[in-house]
Amino acid sequence: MNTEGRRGDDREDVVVRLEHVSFAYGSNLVLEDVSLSISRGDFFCIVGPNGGGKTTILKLVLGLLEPGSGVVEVFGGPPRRARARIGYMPQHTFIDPHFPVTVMDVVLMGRINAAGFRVFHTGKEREAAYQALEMVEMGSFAKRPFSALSGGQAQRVLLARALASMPELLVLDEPTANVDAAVETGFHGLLETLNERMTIVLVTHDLGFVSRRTRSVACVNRRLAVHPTCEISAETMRELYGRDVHMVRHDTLLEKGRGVQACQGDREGGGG
Amino acid sequence: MTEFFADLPRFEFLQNAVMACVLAGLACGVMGSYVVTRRISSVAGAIAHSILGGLGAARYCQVVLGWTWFTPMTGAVLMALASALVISWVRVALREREDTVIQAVWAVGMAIGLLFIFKTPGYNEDLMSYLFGSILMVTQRDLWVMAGLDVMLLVVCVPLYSRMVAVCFDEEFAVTRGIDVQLNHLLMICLVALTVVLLVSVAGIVMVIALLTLPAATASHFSGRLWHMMVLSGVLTAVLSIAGMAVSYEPDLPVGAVIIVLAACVYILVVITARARGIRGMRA
Repeated sequence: MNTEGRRGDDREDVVVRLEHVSFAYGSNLVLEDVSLSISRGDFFCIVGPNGGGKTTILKLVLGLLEPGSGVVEVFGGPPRRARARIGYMPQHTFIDPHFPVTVMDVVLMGRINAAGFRVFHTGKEREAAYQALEMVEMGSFAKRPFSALSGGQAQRVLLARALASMPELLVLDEPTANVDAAVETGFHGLLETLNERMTIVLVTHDLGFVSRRTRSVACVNRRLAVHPTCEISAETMRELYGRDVHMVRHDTLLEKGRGVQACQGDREGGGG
Repeated sequence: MTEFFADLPRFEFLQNAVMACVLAGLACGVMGSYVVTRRISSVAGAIAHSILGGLGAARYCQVVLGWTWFTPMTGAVLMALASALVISWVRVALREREDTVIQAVWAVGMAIGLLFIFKTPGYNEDLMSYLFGSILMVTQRDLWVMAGLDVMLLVVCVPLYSRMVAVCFDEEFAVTRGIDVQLNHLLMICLVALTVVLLVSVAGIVMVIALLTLPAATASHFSGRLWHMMVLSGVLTAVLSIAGMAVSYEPDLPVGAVIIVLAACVYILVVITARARGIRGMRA
């Protein structure tokens, strides 16, 4: 993470760059003067309250939204041109669970652009899709219907779909929403492994997020504050959420002088 | 029922009607599956009803103005495409509330149709056949038009299959893969519009929507993949339509209505048994 943004030599290593970005839905200002840059190999978490603009940042990075003002760059160019190098995993709660597709069909959607207008997928594409499924340990489910999967399995398959295009940047929106704690832990382990190969940007509203690899946390509530993980404190949370939160430390690790905490934020009702 | 099958080899109009059911089934299976999974049945319903405007205008032009080339089929196709464009354009460009516009297209199309029919001398029987279908009056020429629409549908849909599935499954992700979702959606709605026109002769404007969605919804209970659903609902539509004709033949009932009631019965039966099996499965 490098908060100064452009610094000549290491521009190559900046994967995502937002400069003075503002965005409004109609007259509702969601993001105001947000600047950040994400380096190659980073594990970047974006947290904040609901409606704070986390998902909007992701959509700007994916080129699904255009900023009202400011600049968004991915791999040194406009996000649209970087799409082939980005893998995206949306919130799976938006997907129709009864849709008639097999697991393999879903993963192959990640390779659609490569497939062009051919009627059948080539063996090479199937191989790539199968490898992506293997990466998330779902290889044996390839022929199962997507609708028969549990929440955690469906999430892994959606992750495999994002991985099928062999992306350099992996973007995840609330990947562990609505799954139980055990599934969540497994999922974090998986992301840590993937982070060895690709840059990861992750949005979450739940603060039990910070894995050992997380290097930077961006707290968004219309404006943005970036903290190295070691600096997250009750004070930060209070600023972010505008009220007191319980801090439950369940994992502390000191490593090469870099303190990392995983925190569980639990909002106190009615505070403010 | 037996009388229908006894008469089938003897009368050309019955053979035409059976052929029409098969051709309609093909289009219905493909586009009905998209309509159900993409949840755009209200769009399809609005387009179907708006067609009355095109039919009415065409009849008026033929009878009063003497434009013989302007057949009701031409009017229906033009009106259906116009409605499809209006609905898609409003969604993309104006960001108006989509459901309001859909209902408006529905009612305005019917109003235009009614005005033209009111001003066209002596054709009240046409109105009934537009509204409720007239499959027994399908001509050889109609069959060729239907076959043409089917071929066009397949030529467009087969190469676009995986893209359309991706858009139906998860529109946002499809955008990130570089698919032009707006264009895809527009194309899909236009194809739905053409399918609706093709189905109007079977079930009529009012009941088309049920023919498009009920067999597809039934098929979805047995399908693990979208193209399975398309094949199954296509076969189901053809079989239900022919069965509806057979059942209605002897007691001389309106064919379209019998077909829809049959389709609904099959659907309800499937839903109930699936439900019962699900509950038993949970107990086990």
